[in-house]
Amino acid sequence: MKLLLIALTMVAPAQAEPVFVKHCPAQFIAEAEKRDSKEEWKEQAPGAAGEKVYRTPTDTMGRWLEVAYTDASTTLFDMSNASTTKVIFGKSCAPVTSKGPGFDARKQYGEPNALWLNDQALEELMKKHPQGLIYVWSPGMTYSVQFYKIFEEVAKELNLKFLPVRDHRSKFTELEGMAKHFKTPEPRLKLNSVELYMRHLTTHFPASVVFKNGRIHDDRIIGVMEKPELRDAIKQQLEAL
Amino acid sequence: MIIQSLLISLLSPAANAANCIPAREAVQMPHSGQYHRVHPSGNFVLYSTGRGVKIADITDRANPKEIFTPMKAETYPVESATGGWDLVASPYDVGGMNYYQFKDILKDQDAAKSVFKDKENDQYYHSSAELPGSTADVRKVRTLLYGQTHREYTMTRDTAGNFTKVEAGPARQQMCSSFVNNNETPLDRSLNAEDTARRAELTQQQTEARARSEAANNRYFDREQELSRSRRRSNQYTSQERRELEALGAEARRLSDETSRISRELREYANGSAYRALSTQLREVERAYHSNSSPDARRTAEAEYSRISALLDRYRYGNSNEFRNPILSKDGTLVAAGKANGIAVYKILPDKRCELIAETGFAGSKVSFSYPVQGKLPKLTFTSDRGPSGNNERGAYVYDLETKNAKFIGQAGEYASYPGFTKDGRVIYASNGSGRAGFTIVDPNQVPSTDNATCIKAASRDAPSDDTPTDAPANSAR
Repeated sequence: MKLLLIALTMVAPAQAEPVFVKHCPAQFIAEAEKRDSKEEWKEQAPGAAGEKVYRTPTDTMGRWLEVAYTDASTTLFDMSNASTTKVIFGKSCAPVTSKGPGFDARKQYGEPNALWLNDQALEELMKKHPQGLIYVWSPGMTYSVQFYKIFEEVAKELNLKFLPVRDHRSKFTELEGMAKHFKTPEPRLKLNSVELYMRHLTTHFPASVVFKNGRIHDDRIIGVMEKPELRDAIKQQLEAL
Repeated sequence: MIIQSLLISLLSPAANAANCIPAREAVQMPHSGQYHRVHPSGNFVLYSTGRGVKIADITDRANPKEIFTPMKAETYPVESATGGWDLVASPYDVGGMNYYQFKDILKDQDAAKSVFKDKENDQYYHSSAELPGSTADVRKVRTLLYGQTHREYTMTRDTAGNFTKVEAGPARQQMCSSFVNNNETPLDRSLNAEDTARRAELTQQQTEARARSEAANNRYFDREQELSRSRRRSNQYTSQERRELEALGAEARRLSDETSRISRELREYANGSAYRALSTQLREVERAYHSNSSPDARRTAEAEYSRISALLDRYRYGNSNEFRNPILSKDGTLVAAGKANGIAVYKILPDKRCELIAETGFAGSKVSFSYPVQGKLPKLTFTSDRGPSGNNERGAYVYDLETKNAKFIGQAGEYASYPGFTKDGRVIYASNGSGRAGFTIVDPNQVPSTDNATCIKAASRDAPSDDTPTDAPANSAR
């Protein structure tokens, strides 16, 4: 309930530009502003031919906007754990809105005994801990398993809450291999967070991100690093937050 | 174990006729594995499991087989521009990185023996390629490690036709020890007296603004809860209560906006005057874009915007993320690496410095290069996790380094992993989840649109170059 209220009250300084939308730009900007768009949109891999895709977080944890556009069409998506709203700007540029299910990995990748980290849980953890390191890993990925403890140790050294989150698509059966060999602890917590998914923390394993005072750094730490390099990367991100 | 399998063709009968290249084929072969590597013939896919490496033999698409090997997880082939796999490199194997002959693996399976090993150049997430100047009997090989160091080898075929004589160059040579592009020059982060003073001032303002914003939010929540406790629905509030809540909400929004404004300004001062100047330039480019309707002017503005954004990203993200997970091209002369917000491709110069030649501008997995064609840059294939516009699926892409265009080659409802090029330009990837359903074979030129009636007899690889020998026959040990 509280999250919903935050969504209603925390409106960001809405500057939808610079997404170079061609079709109905003014209407798109107005709609994005209404939906708490942040000022920075990041380009994504495209969909259909000629299509461009950009996304941006909002001021509400776990709620992201994504726009897909061509020269002749613009579609805005507003996604959270709870729902995905699709806004199509037709020929007249009048927005046509439809609502569908939100991002919920449990439905597609559910398995017994798994614990799921959704955005509400993530926000609560980030409120409880002033700063931390989120480590998204997959049991089948050699380095992500092998370096689990190194990341954990560095996080502890730097007084960061270490939050390991498993690839939502992975299965317990994969733990029979490398993860079991390396005796990786806490394998049960799986990713069900729009915030982490939209930040591309599941495109490569491991991928990590630093948070501080309720804010997540804009960028991932990709892959693994030796301790000194990792310390520097984390410190740099903490400083920037 | 022989796995039941079935070939599903997604094309019309016309395209299934003999010698026609299907736009898309699916090979059903459920398996659990990672790090798939596609053989240039398209007949084999090597993959790692928790219990070592296996090879999927998909020569007969309707009847794929599993081949056991002695190799360890994350084995990577020694790739070749000519389209062969003479050797495969198995990391953290007995005695170091073990190089096996692929023909031995096919013949002896898990009883195959390695032909040489290297303890000094041994790491997971490596890539390996034959370099230009290799001949049929003498191969020059570069093996690049995850740690961004590499080693070069000269491998000579003995009288029995095996690559047993190996001369290794110096180990732990840094790859891309420096970059020749201006984009990679050191950043000016110097703070002048004004920066330092303003930074301290803004830090204090930010702390206070955050506290005010949080207090305003709490006032709203507390009042809302107080009203809720009276068990009334929001549409039952009196008009005075509604006005009161709206006023509290508006105040919370105003203070949140104020906090964001201060944070933005702080970021600019914290990064120094050079960063601030770039931020100002960026805003001017945005204004120029929107005040000018000429397509040429807009294109110029877009390019300028990308250039400045990339520089600002470097300030904000630093360089620690600028060169991650490097992968060699098939001829070992290019290297692709993950960056903060995308994939970058560099040309490796003779002195091992690197020259940036392309950036995707969006995030993706590690890449596989296409086989080289004379006079043209190769293509990349990789996956990217898509958002709601792509139904939150993981899609396979081909990125053309010549045109700088990306193309989605997957299908709705699909989860693609580890795409790799065959020599004829098709892409093979593992499809549908960590419990893989099998493999998808795609001709990028024929998707997503094909008339399905035309018989395509050559896949999407560009015209063959003079330096490209003919393909090894199917089932060849190469």
